[in-house]
Parts: sequence; structure tokens; C-alpha cells
Amino acid sequence: MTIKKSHLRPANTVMNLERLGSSYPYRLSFMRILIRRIMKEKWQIERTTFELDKEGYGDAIYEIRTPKKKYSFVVFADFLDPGKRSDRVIADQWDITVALCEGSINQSRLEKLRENVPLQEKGRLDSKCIVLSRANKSTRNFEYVIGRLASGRQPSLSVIAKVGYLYRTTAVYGSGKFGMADWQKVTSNYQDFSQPFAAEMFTCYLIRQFSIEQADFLAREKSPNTAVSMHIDIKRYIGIGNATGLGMAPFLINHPLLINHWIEIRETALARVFLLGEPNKALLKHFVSLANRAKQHLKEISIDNEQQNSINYKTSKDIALFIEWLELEKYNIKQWTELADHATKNTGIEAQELINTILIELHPELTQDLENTPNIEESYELVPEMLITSLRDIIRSRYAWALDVDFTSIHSNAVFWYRSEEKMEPRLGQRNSDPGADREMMVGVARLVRQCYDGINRLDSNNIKLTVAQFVFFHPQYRLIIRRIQTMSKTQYGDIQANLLDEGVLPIHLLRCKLSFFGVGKFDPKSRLWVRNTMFQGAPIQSDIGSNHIDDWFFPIMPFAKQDKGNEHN
Amino acid sequence: MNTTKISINELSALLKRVLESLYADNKDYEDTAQLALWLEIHNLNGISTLLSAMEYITNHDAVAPTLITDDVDRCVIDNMNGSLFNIACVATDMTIAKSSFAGYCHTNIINCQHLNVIIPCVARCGARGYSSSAWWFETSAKQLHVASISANQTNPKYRIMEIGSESDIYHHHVDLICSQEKIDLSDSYEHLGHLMDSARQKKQISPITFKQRFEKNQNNGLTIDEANYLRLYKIADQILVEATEKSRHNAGE
Repeated sequence: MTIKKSHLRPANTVMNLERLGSSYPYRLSFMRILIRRIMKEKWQIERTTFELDKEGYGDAIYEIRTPKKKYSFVVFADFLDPGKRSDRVIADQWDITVALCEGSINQSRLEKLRENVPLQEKGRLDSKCIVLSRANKSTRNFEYVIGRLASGRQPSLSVIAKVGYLYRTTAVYGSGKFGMADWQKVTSNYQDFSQPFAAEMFTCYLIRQFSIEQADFLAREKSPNTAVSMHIDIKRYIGIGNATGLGMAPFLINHPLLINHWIEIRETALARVFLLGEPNKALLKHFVSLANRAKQHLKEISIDNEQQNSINYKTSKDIALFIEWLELEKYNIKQWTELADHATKNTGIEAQELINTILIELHPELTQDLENTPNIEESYELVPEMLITSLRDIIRSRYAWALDVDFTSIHSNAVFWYRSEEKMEPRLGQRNSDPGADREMMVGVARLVRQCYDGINRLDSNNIKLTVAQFVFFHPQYRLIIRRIQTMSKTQYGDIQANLLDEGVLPIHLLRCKLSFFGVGKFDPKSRLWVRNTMFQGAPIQSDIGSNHIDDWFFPIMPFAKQDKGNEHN
Repeated sequence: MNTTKISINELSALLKRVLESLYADNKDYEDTAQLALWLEIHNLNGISTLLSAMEYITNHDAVAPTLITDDVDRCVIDNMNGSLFNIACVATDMTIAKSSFAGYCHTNIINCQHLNVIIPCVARCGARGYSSSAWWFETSAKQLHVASISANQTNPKYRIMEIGSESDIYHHHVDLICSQEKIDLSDSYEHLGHLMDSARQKKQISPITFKQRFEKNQNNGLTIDEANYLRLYKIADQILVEATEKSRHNAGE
């Protein structure tokens, strides 16, 4: 199915930061793809070691067999002083630390992992380890759930809905960090995880599995005579939490080809639906059903952030009105674009993107092949033979958004990004008052483009005929941004169109954009700089693997919402 | 010697931070880091070469390189006794750009240190679709080094030849040629005449060997001298900013 560039939404719409920050997880998000793969290939996940004491501390090992390879997931559960429990990267102790490795774990390998995995960033792993991560208990949920199960009752769904998980990951490392397997090795040797972040997502999935099993175990330990196992529907409703901070924002800026690739896949899926999808009675009914579920999902999100609450409220209201309109118009709908057009005119950006997400969901037959789109090789090569006038034209046409920023205003250059000496944590500083502006990270793409453009414009008439190679010989400071401009000008979407140095910058939009591609939902911003969220809520659990899988776990809502509300009072 | 295991990605990130701390925003630190990385992952001592280049890179009083000749198919750059790390990327750019217009370019870089940094540049020319060759003398050892690659190949061939006599003419001097034609440039150094009369090949690293070296390091990780690793970290850490209570708040809480 060939989609022409003209069928895709334009870059100035798609790459707008606010719209990127309104993205929802969708059918081709990495978690969805991973779960489909696990279920289709019937991965075997077997708990081979579960040596926990009465408090739940100790070691656990899960062996995973896929059709291609065998892996082990190792968990070290340790006592953590509640005062040391922190979501921040700079923490140095956690409730559990974990690693995903190739092959089996014998005693000597376990000892080596035990010496290093709990140290996290300070430890060293080997090239047969794929992912390193850690997680902390949700103080609100963990003891509550165990208490309820120990007393023979199921946890209240309204309490679970409020948080949605028992553990929250605070960092998930892959791609060769701390001596682990390089990404290139993962793609060639561990093909089960050759999709972006698949190994990292799988590790989170297994942490979720461990958290459920540990809760059941501790309830039994606490009260063997009265304890009950968690109801399977509640197990599925338990996700795995995540806290994501500023670190993810520079990733997006530093990997523009990758981000363009992900966005191009999503937009291609949407374009195919608009172009080739045909609304009919059944699909319109399905659309309404999913929209109602999404509305319910938004209503069930209970967070403290007033701004996000009001966004969710407005989106939910927009969707309700949209459904009303659709019920009236459903017999007249001939093309899906009519829905998108109506949404554009009558709803906010969040609702527009949510509707697009549902539309993609309706036509798996049109998007199935996109999940096997090959990875791109991120290469930002200079085109030295390009004439400098051509480069100037490219900047004018593709980076007009950057040239529109007025860098003579202090507001446009008010903040800077830097790496702290504390675990190289990315932080945001005020240029006029905080130390470190001399060591700022190169994330201000708009400003770099502007500087380069000004550098070109300073050339006299004799030098304007230079090649890029000649220009960078005399102005090597522009080489890096020129490589980027030249590379991204060949892509459909190019750079994220935002000035990250602006005093009003909202990094939270960048975080949510990336997280939506992961498949993360229930965004709970804790400030404009970091966000809590929930992964795999509603996804099949380990015991579901092998059974018939209906890929319908997105926009999770409380189980028993229709048939058995009384359960929560048992 | 104590060693440390490190992945390629990890070393790449570390070298970028090292070069960022050295060049700040004055040069393309990312691409320069790739040169050191290429040498290291092909077992050609990229880290120790970079560390030995420190004084040349950090000498901010050094005179900027000069473009002596800038003709259609000829380029001469005086690197003013600086490290090739400082100039390798832009010198390669010049060579490729001229080759794309003229079909061929011969670049000389004179008064230059750390000449083996040209090897990844040759590989870069090959990947960009040009046949390429570079050669330089290690006069103290009476050796000629030659790196060459065919168009559209990934890995070069690298030979070290023993020569009969020393020559100061080519001291601290590297030649890089690049051609659009799909020709073998590996013997292009032969115009060196009498210097090569008694030359004999001492060592050769074939493209296949380079490929195998890369694959081995990719699969098993790199083993590097721990002292060098710590030195790199110390340099890289110069880009980090001191932490304060306020700065902790600036990360999100």
C-alpha cells in the first residue's frame, strides 16, 4: 500500500509541540506490538526461582523461552528505607533491581549479577545482559493490596484505579549501557527484541508480573489461613508504573531521524485509514464503542494535577459531544476524513488525536505490515558538495519555524539544558541566574539553525558560491547543525518544531510524545518537568499466554465496570 | 594492566562527551568522536591516540589551520602542527566535495599530528561511494602507512610498509585522494619514487579482518585499559554542572 507524501498530514501540523504532547498510545505503540508478538508466538515465561523471605525480600528468576532464544529475568528484592524511596535518577537504593539477560542463570552468574545489578549505574554488566532496571513500590497501593488479600478480600477497584500499579520503574536501561549488549547486537542476536525498546518494554512487563506474584505471596505469608489470590481480572488491571523526567527530552532532540521514523509510521497508518478505510455500520458502531471506552478511561483517571485533570475533562466532554454528533450523522458518513474534519472544527487537539488513535484501531488490516517496518540507521552525514545557497534555501523552507523565533528577546533564550554532576541527570537552568550555561547541552535546535543562517548571510557576494565543505572549513562550529539540517530536510516530518530554550518551554509535551509511542497511558504530570504514567494496564498476564488473544487492552477501564461492581466491596 | 569492559554504544557516548568538553560548540564534536571510536572498535588504539592528542586539542593558542590551496581537484591544508582530530572531518568534506564536482581530488594535510586518524576518513569516503586512499610516513620507524578502500565498501585495507630510508619531506604529512571512479587506489602512493625502491610490506589488515574485529567487539564488548577509561571519564566530566538544591529542583521536584 503506497501512500504518497501528499496524503500525509503536513509537518507544521504534526510536529507542533502541543500536538505531539497530545499523543495517545496506539495500535503500533511498542507495547502493543510486543504483546501481540508474545501472544502469537506463545512465549513461555516460567518462574524458576522465588526465594523470598516473609517480608518479600530475596531473589527471583524467570526463564523466558521464545521460538528463537532463551532469556532470564533476574529480580533482587531488598529492604528500602521508606525515606530513601525516590523516583529520581539520583536515588541510589530501590525496592527491586532487575536485569534481563540472555540464556540461563547459574549460581556464579547469579552472584555476579547480585554484586552489580543492585548498584544500577555504579555496577558493570556484560554483553549478555540486555536490560537493567529498578522499581519502587507504590506506597499507596502495595500494603493496601496485600492487606486486603491477606484478609480474604479483593482490593477495591477504585483504589487500584487511582494508582494502577504496585511498582513504579524509575529507569530502564538498554542499548549497551554499563557494559550491556549494544543495540546493534540486540537487533542481530536477539531478534525477539529487534523492535525499538522491545527489550526495555518486556522488562517492565516482567516487573509487573513479579509485582503481582509478590503481592499474592506476601498476602499468603501474612495470613495463610485467610489469604486469597488476587482476582485474575484485577491482575490484568494492575499495570506497571513509570516515572519519566527530563532525561527523555534530550533523547527526542538528539534522535530526530528516529522520531521522524516513528511519526511517519503513525501518520502513514492514519493516511491509509483516511484513504483506504471505508466506514460501514459495523465499523461505526465499533468506533462509538471504543470512543465510549476512551471517555470512560479518561473519567477514571484520578490524579492531582489540575491542568491534566481539566485536559482530561475537556477531552472526555469533547468525545461525548463527538459521539452525539456521530450518532446523528452515522448514516451520512462516507469517509473517515469526515470524522477528522468534524473533530478539527469542533474539538480540542487532545480529542482530535484520540479520535485518530481510534480510527487507526478500526483497520488493523491496513496497518498490520507497518509493525514490521525495518529499523532505520541513524546517520547524519554532511553533504559537503551542496552549495551554500542551497543550504540557505533549505533552512528557509524547512526551518521557517526556527527562523520565526526572535532570539533577540531574552524570553526566547531564557533557559538552558545541562547535565548535572549527579548521575549526569539532565536539568533545566535559568540562563541569567543559574551556573552551567557555559556547559549547556546542544538541544536548542532553533537557535543553532538561526546562528548558522546568520553565518551564511554574513558571507559576502564572492563567498556565497561556496560549497558547504568550504563553509565549514572556515566555520567548523556550524558543521554539526548543518549535518542535521541536511539530513532532516530529506525526511517527511523533520525536526520537532519547538524552541527548547524558551522561558515557557513545556518539556512535558516531549515526554508524553515519546511515551505514547512506547504505549504508555494515564499521564500524571507532577510538574512541567516530569510525569508519572502507567504501562501495560489491562494487558494479558503471564497465565494468559497460550490462550486466545483478543488485542483489545488499550484504554483500560475498571474490570467488572458493567457486570460486577459489587466485587469491590467483598 | 587493569581493564574494563565497555560496549560500543557506551564508548561512543563517552567519547562524544570527551570531545564536547574539549571543543564545546566550536567544532563538530560528535563526528570527531566517531573517528576515535572507529579506530578503537577496529583495534587501532583510538582511545590512546585521542589521549595522546590532548595537548594538541586543548591548545587554544594554536594557530587555526590554513587552506593553502583550494583548486578544483586539489586541496592543501596546513594544520599548524595541530592534531588531525581537529581537521579530519572538514578535510574529508573538502576532498569529497571536490571529487563530486571534478571526479577526483588530492588533498595534502601538512604539519599534522596523529595521522592514523585518516583511516576512518578513508572508510567514510568509501561509504559515500568514492574510491579512496591515504598514505603517510612514520619517519622514525621508516614506515609508510597506506589505507585504501573501494567505492561503496565499508571497510578499508590498511598496510604498513617498511621503507629503506628516512625522509623528512613527508614528516607530519598525510595525503588523501578520492575518486568517483570505481578504481583501486591502493597503490597510489607509488609516485613516491625512490623512497619505495626497497619497500616491503610489513603488515596488512584486510577489509575482512576489520569486519571481524568490529563484529567481535560488537558481540563481546570492548576491553579497554582502565586507566585510560578513567582519564576519559575525567575529561568528559568537565561538561557536568555542579549540583545544588536548586538544581535538583530544576530536574523536576
